[in-house]
Amino acid sequence: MPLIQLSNVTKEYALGETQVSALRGVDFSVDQGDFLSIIGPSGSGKTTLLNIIGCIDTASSGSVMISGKEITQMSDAERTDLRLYKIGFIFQTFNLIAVLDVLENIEFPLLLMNKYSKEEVRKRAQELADAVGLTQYTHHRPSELSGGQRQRVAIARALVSNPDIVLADEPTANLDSQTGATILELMKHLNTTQKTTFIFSTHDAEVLQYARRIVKIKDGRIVES
Amino acid sequence: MTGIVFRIAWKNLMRHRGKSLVIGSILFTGTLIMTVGNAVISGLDAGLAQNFRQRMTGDIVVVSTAQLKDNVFFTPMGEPVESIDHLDEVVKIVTQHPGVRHALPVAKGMVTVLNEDSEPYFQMLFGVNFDDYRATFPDGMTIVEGQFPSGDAHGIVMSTQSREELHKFANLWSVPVGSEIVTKNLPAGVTPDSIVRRDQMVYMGYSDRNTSLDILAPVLAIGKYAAFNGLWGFFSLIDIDSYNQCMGYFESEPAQDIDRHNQQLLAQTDNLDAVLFGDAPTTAPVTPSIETVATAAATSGYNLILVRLKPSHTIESTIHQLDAKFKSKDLPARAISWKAALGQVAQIALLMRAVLFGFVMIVFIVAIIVITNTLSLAAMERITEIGMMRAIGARRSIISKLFITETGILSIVFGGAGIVTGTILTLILQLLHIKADNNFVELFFGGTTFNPVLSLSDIGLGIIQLVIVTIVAVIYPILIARKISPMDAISRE
Repeated sequence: MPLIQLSNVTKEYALGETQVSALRGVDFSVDQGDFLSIIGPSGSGKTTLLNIIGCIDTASSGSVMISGKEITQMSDAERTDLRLYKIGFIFQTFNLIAVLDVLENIEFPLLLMNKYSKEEVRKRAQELADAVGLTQYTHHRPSELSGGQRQRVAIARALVSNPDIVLADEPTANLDSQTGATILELMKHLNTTQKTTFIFSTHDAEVLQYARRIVKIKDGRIVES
Repeated sequence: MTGIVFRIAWKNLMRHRGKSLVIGSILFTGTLIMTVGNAVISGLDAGLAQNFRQRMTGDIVVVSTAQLKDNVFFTPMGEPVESIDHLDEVVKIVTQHPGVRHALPVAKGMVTVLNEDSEPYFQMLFGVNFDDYRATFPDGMTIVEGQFPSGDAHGIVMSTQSREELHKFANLWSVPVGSEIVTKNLPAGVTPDSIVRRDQMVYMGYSDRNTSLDILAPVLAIGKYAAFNGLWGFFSLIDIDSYNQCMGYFESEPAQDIDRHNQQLLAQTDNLDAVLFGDAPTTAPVTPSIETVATAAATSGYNLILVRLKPSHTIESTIHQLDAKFKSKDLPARAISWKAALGQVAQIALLMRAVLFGFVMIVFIVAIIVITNTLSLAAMERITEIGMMRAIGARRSIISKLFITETGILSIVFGGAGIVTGTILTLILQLLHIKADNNFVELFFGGTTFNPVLSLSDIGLGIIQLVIVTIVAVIYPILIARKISPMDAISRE
């Protein structure tokens, strides 16, 4: 059974008095342990697709199954818990909590779970901070970090809870090539060792080299999978 | 989880210091005003209780069932109060009630002060047994000249207010029998030479029930009521025997036959004083007319019984129990509360209390509106932060907790400071001993001195009000914040 199964998914937005179709009947599946890249021109529906898979947005029609569960029928609380326990999200922009420092931002999902001790949470967050090269910056606020450093915090936060699925929208867009490569190596490592499923959208050819599978999307339709 | 919510809340408050200070200032000012307002209301209540109930009216007033209006003290145009029939039995029932500490029969009525050099002047009197009065209201009146009389004395204890009114009207200045004018007690600008000294008063009873008589009443003392002298001071005390004679109530003197000559005189004139006693006013004891004796035989001059309760008994339940007892014994008496007996005076005091309470409530509501507005704006400004937290996996309840915690911290810090400052301000106001300079202000103060009282229950009330303000003010902002979705955050970016 695929980890993620989308069937005839559509998404329409109201833009003033007109309806805009962002997705027009998308069908595709993702297996556990995939390392998948979604590519396509701007406005093709990449981000919308990631948002729907990540339970951040809802489909206008169609079916979205994650681990065999239909998420379109889930309540808000159930979708929220799914995001917390199963999905890590790396946003296109950094979206960190401005008042928390690096370590606290990374800890945040674990604290929401409320099932780990303070020490466990701190240890795990520190490991991730080290892994993304932020050891020296753990007590810095987001406003004191560069764009790349913030992106690394976001990546560490997405990975801290060992989610089944990590969704990343242009994860290396704001990183220099060396940092980007380091992050991608980390993702690959997790993918290999823990079977974490990675789905990311990108325009970056370097990133595409890491992908085992590429899905092309255009005008809201999958054109190549 | 609570830890991270508290940490975010605290850091958010620190980050948005300006907004936190605005909300905090409102909470501080609101709780300060509410605390002082509660203290003023409690002071008013305590003042009214102490000054009226413990010094003047008692807790309950028993009146005749024939007395239809409850307003028995400040009756319009001196309208008489119906006498209580079967007084002894009524008093017995009252005094046997386990909650009653004192019961003071009082005869309240109006007399005309007769003076050869001026128009007649009206005065209000309380006919009492002086010993009983002193026992019931030991600190009700301070004697400023003379000595408070003992129970068997005949004469009046004139209030300073009545003395001054009489001076204004007739230039008479009352002093105790045999005493000289005390210059320091004279009104400003008045000298002993410019006034007429009087140590006895000629009173003519003013009754719609009996034929009244003129009496010569010696002034025994001049007294000032402990509070509300401007209001209560319209009443002077007189011994009950003199009052009864003045008002035409007699119980012990036998009726007399009137000879043919006097019967002819009676037929010719309605001036009984002229017929029986010539022009001179009488002094007690007095032989009444047959008509008077016949009317008074079944009644007494007492028309009020002022009842003071033991602290353990409530006014409402005691009234209910006394009324039930009167009814079971078929006695024509009923009990009313001191507030009802005071009529409009109590209503004015209660109106002031209501106005004050209304003011506190307005502060309360304004605080809620302003805080709600500020927090709602804050929620809308934090769409990105809240939406992102939701995207990571924060449930709506976490967002609610975040807002409650932020507002709660502000409430505890600033509201707590407001309550503490209000308490200190109340203590300072107590120490200032601000005096009331007129009757209206005295009613507002609940006594002669502004004495706001802040009990533990008042502080508790302030805390409850603060909690209510916090909860009500945060509801709408929470509703706004809970509606923020992860997509709202992404759309903003």
